[in-house]
Amino acid sequence: MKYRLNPYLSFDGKCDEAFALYSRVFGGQPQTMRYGQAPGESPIPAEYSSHVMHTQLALPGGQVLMGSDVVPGFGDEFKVGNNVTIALIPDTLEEADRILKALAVGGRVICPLEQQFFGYMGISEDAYGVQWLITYGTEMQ
Amino acid sequence: MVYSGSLPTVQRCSSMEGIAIKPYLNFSGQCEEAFRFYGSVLGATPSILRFGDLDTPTPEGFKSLVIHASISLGTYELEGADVVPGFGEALSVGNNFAVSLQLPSASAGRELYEALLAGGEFIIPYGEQDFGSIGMLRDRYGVRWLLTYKHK
Repeated sequence: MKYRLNPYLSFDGKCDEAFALYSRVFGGQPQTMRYGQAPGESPIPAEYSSHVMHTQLALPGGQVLMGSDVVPGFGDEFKVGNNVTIALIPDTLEEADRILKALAVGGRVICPLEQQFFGYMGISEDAYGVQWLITYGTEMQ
Repeated sequence: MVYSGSLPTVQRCSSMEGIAIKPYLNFSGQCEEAFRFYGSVLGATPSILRFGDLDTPTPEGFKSLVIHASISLGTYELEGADVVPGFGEALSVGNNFAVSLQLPSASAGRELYEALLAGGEFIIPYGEQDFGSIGMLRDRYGVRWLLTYKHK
């Protein structure tokens, strides 16, 4: 069976802002659909019509990062966790360092890029609570 | 945290030009169980490396914790680990993230939805939409999955 597998990020109204950051860091343009653009009658209140129903950014290499805004009252209350993060493997060490720092703008570097026994690793949390695990030169590459 | 010791033997994934991204799942001691479950559901063999598999001395309580797990699905990979008590932040299960799987048919999506749902809970029941089919669930380990099939 053939799957396509992507991380899917949820935001509390800041999906546009977050994907603007990701497109600055990775290049490319996000393709975005808003709740107000959905066909037919929508149960989503008008005040959320400009919220993002779905957006996706194609990364160099062909993988896709996806996301949307949650709408209050639809589903569980939004809660940022650290049980799912994104592992990201750039082509070069310089690129790994650049991405680690660029994603941490407004957020924080949790672990600077340092050599471990398995290769280089660093962790950043962006301004939207998404954690990025950046590695370079590991056996997994 | 700086690890020392010999380099573990882990599965080498297919090389990819540009940037590779993978969902990385964190658990509190249930990583091996979860990856064996995902492996059985997704029809792939998980590769699991525990702290106890390393040559370095490890406290007894940490030996069964997973330092790195992966499941390879063609060019895509799912990775994960257990958090180590006392190192870094405590595990906090959120709902700001899901693993999105796009499937080749509506029936494949339904089958996978039902398999992943065992012991978990539904968020969006798997069903037909204009564009195809969609379902969302939280599995028994707190990981959210979004399964979609799009008409060609």
